[in-house]
Amino acid sequence: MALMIVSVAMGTALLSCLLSIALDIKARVASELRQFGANITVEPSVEGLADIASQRRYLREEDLPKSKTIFWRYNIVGVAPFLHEKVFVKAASGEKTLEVTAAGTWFDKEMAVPGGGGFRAGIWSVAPWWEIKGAPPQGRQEVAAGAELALKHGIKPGDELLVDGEPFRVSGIVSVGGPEDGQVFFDLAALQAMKGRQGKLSKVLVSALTSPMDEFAYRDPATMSPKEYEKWYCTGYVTSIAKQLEEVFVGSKARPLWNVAYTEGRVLGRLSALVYLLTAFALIASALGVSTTMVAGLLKRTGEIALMKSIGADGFKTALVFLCEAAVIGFMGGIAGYLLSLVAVRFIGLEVFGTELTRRAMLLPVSLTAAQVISLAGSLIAVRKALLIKPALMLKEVR
Amino acid sequence: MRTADKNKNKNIMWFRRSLLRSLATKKGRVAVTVLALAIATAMLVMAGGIYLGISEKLGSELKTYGANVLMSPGGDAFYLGEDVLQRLAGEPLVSGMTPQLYQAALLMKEGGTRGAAHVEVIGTDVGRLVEGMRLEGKAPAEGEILLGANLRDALKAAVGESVTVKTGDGVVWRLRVSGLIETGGKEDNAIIAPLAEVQRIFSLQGKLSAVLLRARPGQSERAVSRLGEMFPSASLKTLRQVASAENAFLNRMELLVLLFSVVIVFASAVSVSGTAAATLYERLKEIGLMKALGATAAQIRWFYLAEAAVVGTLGGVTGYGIGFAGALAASRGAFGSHILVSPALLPVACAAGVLIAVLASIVPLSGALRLKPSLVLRGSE
Repeated sequence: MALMIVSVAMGTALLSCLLSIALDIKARVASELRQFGANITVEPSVEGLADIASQRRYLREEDLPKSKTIFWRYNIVGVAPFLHEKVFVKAASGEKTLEVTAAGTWFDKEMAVPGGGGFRAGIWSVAPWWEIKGAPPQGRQEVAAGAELALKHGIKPGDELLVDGEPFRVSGIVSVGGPEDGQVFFDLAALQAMKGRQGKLSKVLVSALTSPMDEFAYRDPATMSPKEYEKWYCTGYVTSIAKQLEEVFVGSKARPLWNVAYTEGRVLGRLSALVYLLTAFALIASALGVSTTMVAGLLKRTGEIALMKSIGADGFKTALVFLCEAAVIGFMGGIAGYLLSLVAVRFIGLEVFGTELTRRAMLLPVSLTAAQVISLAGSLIAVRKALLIKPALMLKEVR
Repeated sequence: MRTADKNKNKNIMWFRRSLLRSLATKKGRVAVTVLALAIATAMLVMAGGIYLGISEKLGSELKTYGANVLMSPGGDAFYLGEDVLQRLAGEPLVSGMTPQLYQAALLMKEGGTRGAAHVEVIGTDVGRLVEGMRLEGKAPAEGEILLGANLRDALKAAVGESVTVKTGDGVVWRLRVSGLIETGGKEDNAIIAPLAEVQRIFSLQGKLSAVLLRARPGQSERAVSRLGEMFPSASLKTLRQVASAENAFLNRMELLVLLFSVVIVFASAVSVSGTAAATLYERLKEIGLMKALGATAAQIRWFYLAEAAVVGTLGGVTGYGIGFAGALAASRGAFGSHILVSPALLPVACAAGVLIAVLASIVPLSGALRLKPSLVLRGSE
């Protein structure tokens, strides 16, 4: 009896645990995939070739907090504004003056959101792999240098750097492992003031949690019927989120980073398919495992069944006794298994994703039902077999 | 001495014969136990095989994120020779490469209205670039180009129109737009054409500006140092955006599959050990009879543990087969390609089968050995 309860409990725990993971896997993996950085760029729209040759249009900084007011606002997990300008840089110890790209940005900044609340915006919200030795530039007098630039010209944190002839203190060295390693970085407001571009931005990077791209998502919204358009707009595709961002940034063009969207769609699809398949296989196996235990447990009691039959119980009554027993085992095992799975799910959530997986109330009834079904099904096989026994032969132990 | 040897031999023979007889006469019971053990070990093999193979499978899915190593000309050189591609192709650490040639050119719309602007021309493996990007029209053939999304907006150009491109040395080319591409990256501000075409337009035959490389996930640092030795005149860099993110991601997913596997294996081991235990309880009478005939506790224990070992091995082998098929089916379903479970897991599966069978037998066996034979045989136990 105890064996059967343990066995049913384990099977149920497995079921409830795997279902919790499988149901949550897409959301959790999608947020893991955000480590790969921004998936939407917002830039000023381009009207003519002159806009390509030199930047003449800008985004407005005041539109930035509006990114947290769109339909899919809760899916926006990172926002980083940039102003790009050319500057002349000369190390205090160096001879040469170099023309480099300066980026005015935020590294980590609490941004006020319309309608209350704050949001941690800045580079680290979209590009967690940026490293800084020292501190991010703050205020009007500080600059951070890209790692390659620093290496080439011997710039160290604490040095003085002449930018367009004015002295700045080097607050840190930024190491990105990309073309940004050749740039210098300022606080956004500092570069805006220096270049007379108050309130202007050249680019905004956005990191958003998205639904994987499917065939429908790749269609051009311009060709959709109103109903389709509404469905598209209200699904968290990277394209529809980009569209909504374009609507809040005046004069902008928002584009998905297609390689990111494409890869995420594929990885999400494949990983969740893998988890679903593993779950299905494991559940079949555990159902089989539990029912073999039930069968084995009942088979040793064939003597009991034979006795019952010989003193007048009919097949139905005999079966009823054993099935009721199975129901009790199923119930107790189901409860124990569900409780066990709560512990396991919590552990896996914290260990793998650093956050608890969603608790789903429906898992309790599902677990209990599954436990009943498995234990009854297992007993049914055994009881059927037992009922075929001839009592006289059985009791004489001639099998 | 001799008699002792003879006795020992006799004992062994008795032991072997009884074991075989016991397995042969109770085929049904043995089959149920083997099946149960096979289920548990199949789960172990399937989950273990997928755990071992997941990193490579997912890693190759991540290749469309982009390169994780950049090779560019070192020192004061402007170009790499195209011959590096051949040498790179033989390097096992490199799983993919895209040659790049960057040039600046003056772009005008046909007829010269709407002004002109200096834009970047990218020569590359266009087929690889467009994978997953939004492409309107088709990939360029000779005399054709792809136009980036911002350039399209600037020119109000459409597929099939032509644009005029003027190179640095003053040669003017008229090129047909075969398609429009949107990547969200720097290609949106550029003209894209097949590498050979760009080499021809700019008279840079055999020259490259850079090679974007894909090292296996987690191997980019090794690839950088290895290739640095192979190509001392080139500069090699890890592109951290992809390299570090994919490492972190793959580690997380490996951990997920590992914990998933532990849960599956543990739960199925416990639920099947019930079967092994139950079949033993069924045989209390046998044990009583053996004791009554004078068998020592040690002999009985050895007998049943040996039986458990045989059944466990059978279960392990069967389980390996089922698990192998399961891992194959799961990887085909999810990735469209195979994860072949390493044969190294076969002994592990057998060991697991034996372990589960033996552990499941120990408790009921010690219980049975404490019982009085007469009571068991009379049936009051």
